[in-house]
Amino acid sequence: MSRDPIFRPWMDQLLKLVGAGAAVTGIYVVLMIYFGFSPKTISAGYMPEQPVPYSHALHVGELGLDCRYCHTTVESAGFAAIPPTQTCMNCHEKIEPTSVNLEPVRSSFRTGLPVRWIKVHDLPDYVYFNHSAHVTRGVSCVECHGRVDHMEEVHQVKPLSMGWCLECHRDPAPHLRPVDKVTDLGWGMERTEQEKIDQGSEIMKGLGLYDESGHPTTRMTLMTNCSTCHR
Amino acid sequence: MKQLLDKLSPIMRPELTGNAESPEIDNTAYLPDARQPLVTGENDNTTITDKVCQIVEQKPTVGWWMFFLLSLSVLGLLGVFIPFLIFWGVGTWGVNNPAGWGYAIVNFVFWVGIGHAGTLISAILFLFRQKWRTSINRAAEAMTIFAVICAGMFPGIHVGRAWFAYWMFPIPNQMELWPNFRSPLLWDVFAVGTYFTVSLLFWYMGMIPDLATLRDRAKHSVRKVAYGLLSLGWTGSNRHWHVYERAYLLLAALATPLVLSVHSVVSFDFAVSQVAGWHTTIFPPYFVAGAIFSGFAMVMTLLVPARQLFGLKDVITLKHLENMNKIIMLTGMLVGYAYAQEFFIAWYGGVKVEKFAFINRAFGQYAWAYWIMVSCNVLSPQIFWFKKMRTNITVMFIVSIFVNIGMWFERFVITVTSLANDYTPSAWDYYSPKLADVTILIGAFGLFFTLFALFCRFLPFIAMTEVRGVMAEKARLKSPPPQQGASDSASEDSAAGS
Amino acid sequence: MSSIKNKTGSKPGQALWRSLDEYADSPEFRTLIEKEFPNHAPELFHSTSRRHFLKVMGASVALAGGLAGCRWPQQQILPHTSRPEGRAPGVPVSYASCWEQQEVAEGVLVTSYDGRPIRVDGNGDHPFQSGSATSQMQASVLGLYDPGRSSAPTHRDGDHRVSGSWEAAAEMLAEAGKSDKVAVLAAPKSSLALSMMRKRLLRKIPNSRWHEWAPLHRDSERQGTAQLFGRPMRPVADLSAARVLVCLDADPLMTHPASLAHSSGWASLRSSADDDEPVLSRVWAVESSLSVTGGAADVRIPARTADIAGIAVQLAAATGVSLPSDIAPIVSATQVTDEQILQMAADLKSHAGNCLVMAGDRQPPVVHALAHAINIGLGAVGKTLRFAEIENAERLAHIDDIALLADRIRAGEVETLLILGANPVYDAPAMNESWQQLIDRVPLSIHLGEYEDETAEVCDWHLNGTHFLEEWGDGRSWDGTITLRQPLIAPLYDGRSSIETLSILLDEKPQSGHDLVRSVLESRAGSDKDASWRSWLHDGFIRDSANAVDSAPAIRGGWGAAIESALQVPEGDEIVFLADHSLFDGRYANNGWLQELPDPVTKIAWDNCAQIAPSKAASMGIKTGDMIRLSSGGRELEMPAFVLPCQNPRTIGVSLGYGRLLSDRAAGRLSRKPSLYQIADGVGFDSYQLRSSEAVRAGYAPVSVARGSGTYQLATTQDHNPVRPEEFMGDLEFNEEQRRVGEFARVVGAGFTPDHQQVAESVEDAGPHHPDLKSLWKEHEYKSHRWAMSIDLNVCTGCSACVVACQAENNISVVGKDEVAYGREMHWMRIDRYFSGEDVDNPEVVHQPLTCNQCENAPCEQVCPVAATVHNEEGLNDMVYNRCIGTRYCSNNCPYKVRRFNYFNNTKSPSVTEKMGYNPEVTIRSRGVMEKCTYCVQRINSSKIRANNERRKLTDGEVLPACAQTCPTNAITFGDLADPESRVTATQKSHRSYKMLAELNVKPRTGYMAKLRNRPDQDEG
Repeated sequence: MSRDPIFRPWMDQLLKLVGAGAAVTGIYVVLMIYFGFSPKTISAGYMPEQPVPYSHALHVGELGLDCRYCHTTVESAGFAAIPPTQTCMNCHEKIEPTSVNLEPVRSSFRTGLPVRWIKVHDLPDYVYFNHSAHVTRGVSCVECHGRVDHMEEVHQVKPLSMGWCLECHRDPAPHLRPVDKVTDLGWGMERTEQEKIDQGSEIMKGLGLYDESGHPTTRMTLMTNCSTCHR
Repeated sequence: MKQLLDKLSPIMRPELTGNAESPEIDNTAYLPDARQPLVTGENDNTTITDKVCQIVEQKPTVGWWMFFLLSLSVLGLLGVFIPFLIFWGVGTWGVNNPAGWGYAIVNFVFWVGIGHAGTLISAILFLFRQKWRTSINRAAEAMTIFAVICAGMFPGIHVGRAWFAYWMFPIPNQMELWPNFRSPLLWDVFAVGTYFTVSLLFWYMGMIPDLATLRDRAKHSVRKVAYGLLSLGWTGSNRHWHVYERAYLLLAALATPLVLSVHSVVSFDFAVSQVAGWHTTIFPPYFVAGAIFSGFAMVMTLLVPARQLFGLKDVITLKHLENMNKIIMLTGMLVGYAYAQEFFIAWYGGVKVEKFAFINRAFGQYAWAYWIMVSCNVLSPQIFWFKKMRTNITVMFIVSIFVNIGMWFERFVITVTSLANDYTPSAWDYYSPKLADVTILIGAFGLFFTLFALFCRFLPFIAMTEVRGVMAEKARLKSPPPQQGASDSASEDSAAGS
Repeated sequence: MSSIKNKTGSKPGQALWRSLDEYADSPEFRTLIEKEFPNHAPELFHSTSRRHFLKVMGASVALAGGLAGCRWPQQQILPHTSRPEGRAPGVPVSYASCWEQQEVAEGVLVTSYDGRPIRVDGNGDHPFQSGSATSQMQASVLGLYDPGRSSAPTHRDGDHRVSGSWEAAAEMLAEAGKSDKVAVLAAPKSSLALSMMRKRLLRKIPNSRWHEWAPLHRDSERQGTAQLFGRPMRPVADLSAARVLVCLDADPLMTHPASLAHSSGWASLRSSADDDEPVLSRVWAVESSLSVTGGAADVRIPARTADIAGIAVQLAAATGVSLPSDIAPIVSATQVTDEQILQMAADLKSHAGNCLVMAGDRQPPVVHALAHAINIGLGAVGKTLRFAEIENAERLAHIDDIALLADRIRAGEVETLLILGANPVYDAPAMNESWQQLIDRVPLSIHLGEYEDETAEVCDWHLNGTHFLEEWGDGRSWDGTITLRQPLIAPLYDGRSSIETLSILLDEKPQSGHDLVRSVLESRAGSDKDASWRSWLHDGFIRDSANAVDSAPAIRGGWGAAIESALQVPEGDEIVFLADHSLFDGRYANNGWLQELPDPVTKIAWDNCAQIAPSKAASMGIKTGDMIRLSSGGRELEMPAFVLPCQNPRTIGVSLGYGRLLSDRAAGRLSRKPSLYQIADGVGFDSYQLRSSEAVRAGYAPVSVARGSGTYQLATTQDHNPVRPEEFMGDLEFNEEQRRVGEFARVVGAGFTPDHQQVAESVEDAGPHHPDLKSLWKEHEYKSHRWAMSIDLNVCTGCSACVVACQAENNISVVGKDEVAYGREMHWMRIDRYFSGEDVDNPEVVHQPLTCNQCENAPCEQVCPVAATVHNEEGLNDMVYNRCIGTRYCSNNCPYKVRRFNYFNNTKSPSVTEKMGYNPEVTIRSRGVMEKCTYCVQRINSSKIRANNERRKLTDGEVLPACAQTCPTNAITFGDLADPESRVTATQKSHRSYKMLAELNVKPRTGYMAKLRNRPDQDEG
């Protein structure tokens, strides 16, 4: 006795298609999560709207203010302090005294209530980043903040992910420059990778991170210890 | 091996007459010159097939419904308490400072242990050509799968931040961090993972011909499609059988070392640490023996009612159960030996802390647990020395329950007593479970039995083809001339194949 | 709350409120303020808000990176409008101030973070003290942020209390100032400004009178010295010279107001054990209940408090003090044998000059007189002791003072009663009628205090006072050095200090605290008043301002008259009332840190108990936790018994300050539950109920003990459920435990001049014998710093200051009684207390601080599946909270059991003020992560960064963990083993040094130094 089959031959094709589809979807989902969740995607490029449209491009890029004119504590303290309203008013009492954009600054100066800036480079609370420790070792602002001197509005350039931090902590040499050039964001852009490495290595030796023969010392390996950033 | 069995066979040679339910006949003995009458009663291919398939095809009995709904409601406890746990934190459990591990780990080890019998029966007994296994291996394997599912649940929920449990897997991530491969917990992840995959594969592969049978017998179109898909277009052609048998053999070979490895690795969680009472070299073999012990006990707990319920007395004969009881008794004594050995080494080793740890186990604040363990695991199986008891359904059922309890307490004793009083007396404390511990313990059983109930209802409870394949001539001769159709060609080929 | 913002808008506290603006604006600000604190762990079934659920669940997503687009909460940066000179955001600054207890000021350095005080440490520059701090000083910063403090003036309106404003209160005060018949009941303070205000009050208001009351005071000392010299004097002891110290019921190392100075002095002599010519001191403690000093003593003699007078007489006689002839020394009642006393006397005499006898404040005046007679006789004056003059010598004894006040109230001589910080309703014995009734008799009663306490609630007005970190003030340290107090922050709840309040009462134009304090000290300033004022504020004290010292005080004839009566003591059991080691007299009852701090002696947290001797308990069939009924002079109280070795069998010791049940009583009188009682309420038992005026005078009271009904759970951090010997295997387990205890905390008997070689050998012998140790793993090699710690058991008194210091520094959460009882306390540092010896009624005590040993072969590191705890190049065992998934495997594998796990979300929605108290340098741990001591890695790192910025090497002692910094006896040394010159290298090389559980080859970095017990039988010859 013969039964009529449940499955027709064309179903085999269907089965293949379904299989292929499933495989593709699987790969897609994995990639989606891997890249979609990566800080490169979700953090880099973050540009909140600030109460005052302060242009670094103008003040730093064109007028050539030094970073430290406003961020005074960057070399001495963990935080690169956001300037007090006073600092703005030093100039803006005279310059653009009536500008609408500057009203929040002026009102802050009148009322004594602060301007509410929005934090752009926002690390998790369990990460302890110390500006002075980097700036005084020859890590330039640009390494983490990008060409702020070209930014009309400040936005996050680097992912600021742990992996990204580690890249530099594992091999700082190419990211170092003479301490006096730290706030000169445009400095040494033309250097080749090799030049960067050579120059960096010299600085590393100076800091005692490399020994004379150019091999990493314990002080360097220390930089990848957990407690260096997490407490 | 074969020669050895040859020598033994005269002793075990049975007279093939009389009632199967009477323990006189050894219908599972190895007969070099004949097929042993594994299946008793007036059975042939058709009756076997019918017997097994009807479980799936007929409307579920009231008994099944009751069992299923009961299990389901117990499973509900998990549905309530696991979210509760994830939300409030593991503080809802009884764990405290000295005793960082409690019921969760105890249950984990317990269930992994249960998960051993299945693969042991299907793989090792298969390689040893123990044909009597065919009647029980399917159920045992199913039980394995479900037990491992229950076990796998616990490491996930026992951690403080369950939502990060995936960090235990080596997945590339933006932190550029990998798990710590020196940690036994990580070894667990791989060991249990592999074991689960292989067992699942083994189980499913073994089922394909039977699924085909169900497909061919199916009336309802949904069933047709479902079983059709599951049976992967099995036709029972000679080639299919050839590939099938080979793959089955290979998987069996692959699964065998796993049976031993999984629980060895699980035992490392304890043995590799330096807690007094954990740090013992005897743990791997001791854990494996214990696992087989508890596994068989659980098979017994399930099969005794099942064969009654589904009228499979002829297939899962008393002799099968008796054989399992023998194994239970053997492994039970192995475990007892391990208990004794631990004490001996603690004394012989002369490490004061070690010595204290074991005396504390037997006479300390957890003495009650220790003696429950000993009486259940070492004493209760001793009753199987008597054939009368060995073959008494009620007795063996009760003993199997005892063994399950005893083996759970073994894990409790090992985990908790050592932690509660370890090196620094100032940190000693008493661990006692809270409501969440108990409910989740019970809930796990709910999950296990729910899955098993569904298995009975929708999948072939007995490996029909294998049973048919190893049935004694006597039964086969009685069977009517072969008909067309997958189901029978299957049996013939398998006969040819085997 | 609006009042706060208005207020702070114009005060130095601005920065703080700005940084908290987002909260201050939020609607749930008030609810947050009133929110229970600390957040006790949730019960098994616990309803919760959807918001919180999402927060917890959301956390996973957020931390895991979050979905593209949905970012974690936006953060604002709120800079100053004009930043104060020399202030950088996120850089801590410390200011000198002073903290006061028992009329004695301690100079403190307060660390302030962006305007938020977060730490209180000792002021090392202060002439009379070291840089260390007590647990209560450390915890005071939490008191500042306590949301339970009263937040506004309230006054009675029918049987309700309604919140008022300070404006209304000021009017009321000014009005009250016009009436005569004003009486003030003040908690005694050493403040000059306050006494100035007192004088002004008495001058301005004719029939006014100033009374003072404190439940724990040193009146008997004043009276004793008065008996001896004709005027009360203050004995200032220098323990660094006391080779032999006899304590008659005295506790110079803990509850004494000068405990810090005493501790460092005592320790300096003790730790000379490592010098080339080691010189050890010997402490004899004769006491009824185990005190911290008693635990540290070399010889401890239990005796009834009542009998110590007799012992003092014998001791005096034996040391050759000429007593009124007709005294027949009677010590029959005591268990103290004559030859013990003679031994003591001999010891004293053989060290004449370098010896000291101290009497405790529970002892009657005559015992103090006797003690000082002995001291003078043995020429201690000028060497170990000096007598300083004290102000208002004419003051009455506290108990007489309030008795007088009670009479005057009854006589209707008081129309206005102003209570400054005192809490008689709770802690003063009833005077025929309860203080509640007495205060009700007064037409207008006003209470000024930080908390709306029992007294506040019966007064017509309650005015919210200031915390010491919020107010201007001054005080005098034990030797009289004037110590200044400056506010670190504007009053959070708009409170007023006592002097400001009095100024409102007295002056047409009320003066600010600053002006008042400055005006009273003006006279001491040099030519440039501003300069000296600034330097005072900078130093925190005024140099050479100590009280005059009488180098040779003349003993008055007939001083011994009182001896006879002092010897007439009742037979039978007695009860003594102890100053609580955490709550003192109850003033810190709402301080979570102190409530959770295990008592140094009993190891009980969140409770007080009736301490009872093992033999007594056995005879009555009482076990720890059984309720017992204490009845004394018609008063009754049921309390849980705590069987405490070292307790004198015929003395019941009960500590004060618990059992605040105002909320119950308030139900009748008040419409709402007063804020104070959110933590304190219902904790422990109110032992003041048993304390009659006679008991206050005598220092003890006869008591009869009976079995009470039922049992009670006490939360102990040690012996949670001790495995008792009788419970199994005879005494094997007991010996086992004893043996191991001997290994952990090693004690060596030594004479006055211990022999290094001998000591080294017996320290060695105490350890277990094991084969050579080999490691399974390749061991780390250290090329950089090797941080290590050594703890000297010889000077550790178990005072537990380090535990609170650690809690403050590392944001360790408070979990509450239930969780502590469950064995889930979070303290990173625990102090194990061990008893040893045959006599269970008087064993020897050893304290062993235990915290993460930072093992070089750390067992915890190897088992963590996610590498959340790993080794760093300097040998620290880094614990990475944000990586931890909470398997608790590390804790299981830690032989010291020093890891702590967040079983619940202990830092769930902290109140605004709580947040202000956190140390921003340390991560707040979430639920489900492991935590442990890090050797204060945040301090190590910031010091390293500072040093590297300046391109220099770290100096020894530059890095100091909180525990080492605060330890009153400098028992904890921290430093770099890689530096051969460092102090820690020296201590770890010491012949007393050993490692705990070294046989496990975990290579702990923390080393211990064995305790030397200078027993008389060790004396040479």
